[in-house]
Amino acid sequence: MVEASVEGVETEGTTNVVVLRAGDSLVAVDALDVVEIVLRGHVTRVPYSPEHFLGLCVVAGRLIPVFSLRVLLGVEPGPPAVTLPRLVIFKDDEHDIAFSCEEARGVVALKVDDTLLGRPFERGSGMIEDKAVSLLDTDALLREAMVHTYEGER
Amino acid sequence: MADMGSTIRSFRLRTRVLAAVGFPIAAFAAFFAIYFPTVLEEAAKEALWERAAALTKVGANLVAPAVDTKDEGRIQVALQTLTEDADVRYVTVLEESGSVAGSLTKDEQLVSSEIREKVESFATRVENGMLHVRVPVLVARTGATSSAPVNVQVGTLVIGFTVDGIAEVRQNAADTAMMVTLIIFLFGGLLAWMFSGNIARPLLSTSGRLNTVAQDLVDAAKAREIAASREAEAVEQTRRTMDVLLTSAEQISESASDVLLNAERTQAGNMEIAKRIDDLNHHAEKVAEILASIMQVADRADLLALNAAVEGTKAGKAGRGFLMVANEMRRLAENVTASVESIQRVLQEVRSASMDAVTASLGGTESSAQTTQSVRDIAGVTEQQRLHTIEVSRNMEDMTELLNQAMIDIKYTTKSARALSGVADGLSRLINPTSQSARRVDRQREA
Repeated sequence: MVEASVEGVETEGTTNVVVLRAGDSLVAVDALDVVEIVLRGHVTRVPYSPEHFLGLCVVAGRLIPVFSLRVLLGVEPGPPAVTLPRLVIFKDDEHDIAFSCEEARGVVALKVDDTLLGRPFERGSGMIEDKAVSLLDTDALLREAMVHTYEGER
Repeated sequence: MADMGSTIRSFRLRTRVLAAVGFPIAAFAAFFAIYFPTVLEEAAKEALWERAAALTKVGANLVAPAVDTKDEGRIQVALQTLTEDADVRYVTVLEESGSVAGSLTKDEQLVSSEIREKVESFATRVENGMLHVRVPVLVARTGATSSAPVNVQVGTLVIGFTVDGIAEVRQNAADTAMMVTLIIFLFGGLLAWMFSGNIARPLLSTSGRLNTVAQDLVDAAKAREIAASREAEAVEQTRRTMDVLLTSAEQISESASDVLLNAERTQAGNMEIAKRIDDLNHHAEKVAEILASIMQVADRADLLALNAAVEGTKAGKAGRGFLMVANEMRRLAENVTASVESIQRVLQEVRSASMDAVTASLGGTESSAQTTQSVRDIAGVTEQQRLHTIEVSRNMEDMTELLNQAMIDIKYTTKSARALSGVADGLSRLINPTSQSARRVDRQREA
């Protein structure tokens, strides 16, 4: 497995990722794809929406749809976080889309190995503090979320 | 055997009663046998003397004319008349000159010469077992100068009386007295023997029962005395125990008062502790609020650092230093969060402990209140116990006094019983000197 560099300083062969905890799994997303990470405030549920679509949330005056990363990844619920849940906001074309996770553990430089892919939305994997972390394909994740959301709306 | 012994004891008692009755009878008979003949002898002697004096005086008057006229025939007739008395042994008439004018005797040799002397007055003399009575023979004559007659002695009449009659009277009286005494003695002894039989049997039985009762009374008095002594010792022991109980009750009362004071202090202290713990909880809640604010700030700082790191990453090489600073800030924020979390846990433990302390304090307050009430109850009960102990001690003292009085009475009863036993023993000894009790009394006297 590939070890992550310390302090998120990107070196040769590493990618700066934001490490997240969704349920009982640690996953990582490319830091370049992340627009902003904010506290999850009040999320307004949308009727007849699928399970992974939690609702709508206002962040800095913007209405942003919020998806459950744990439900999308299909992992089990983890221990409750000390802090409030996080919203990781991505940009899809001109729209911001937020994924809710329990924790955002920071930016690290991760050596990504893309030879062994088995988990959903996984484009590579690495090791952080002796724990396997899957690097998620943000585009695929956004597409899946949006497709299922639209299907749910239909 | 018992009947034989009883018969023997009865015989002895009757013998003693007979002896007791016969002794005064014998004394009376002896007195009668001595006194009665003596009295009769004196009476006979006095009668003889009076008769002799009277007969001699009559004889003097009888022979006086014949002597004056010296008529021997008339003198002999008069003498013959005088000697007809059985007690007269001889009669002699002496002239004035002392010569014998006439004499008549039944036993001549009985008359001594000294007797035949003239006398001028009446005289008696006892000699040779005879009473010799001499009286002057007087004749009334008219004098030359006076016409009144004057008694002139012309002789002396001597008459001898035998005193054998007196001795005979004495002998007859003695025989009669002896006979009467013997009859009285026999009749009295017979009566004493008959009455002693009726006395001895119930007296023996009563004496035996009295001895048994007296001995039982002595034994009972001794047993009662021992029991009373033991009761007195028990009462004294109980009284001492009650004194100890009284002292203990007083000490318990004092200790209960101290415990009550301490319990009230403890209750007040527990209430103060509960109040202080409540204040501590309020402070802990404020600290928790502050920690929540710090936690919120640290969380926001963490997010800011995280976003800064993301932005630093997007800046490429130019943002590398910014990325490191952001990561450091984020680490600090995480440390703050971890510290706050630890503080919150500690605070939670403090709050939990304080709640437990409050609960314990409330429990302690309740226990103190119960303890106070219990101590008040104990103090009340102890006071009641002390009062009752004092009353019991007073009653025990009264009982001790009564027992002492009872002891005195019992000792007096014992003494009386012993005296009664002594009387019974004495009576037994009197009735039967060879009895066991009599021998015991003798041994005690010898001891």
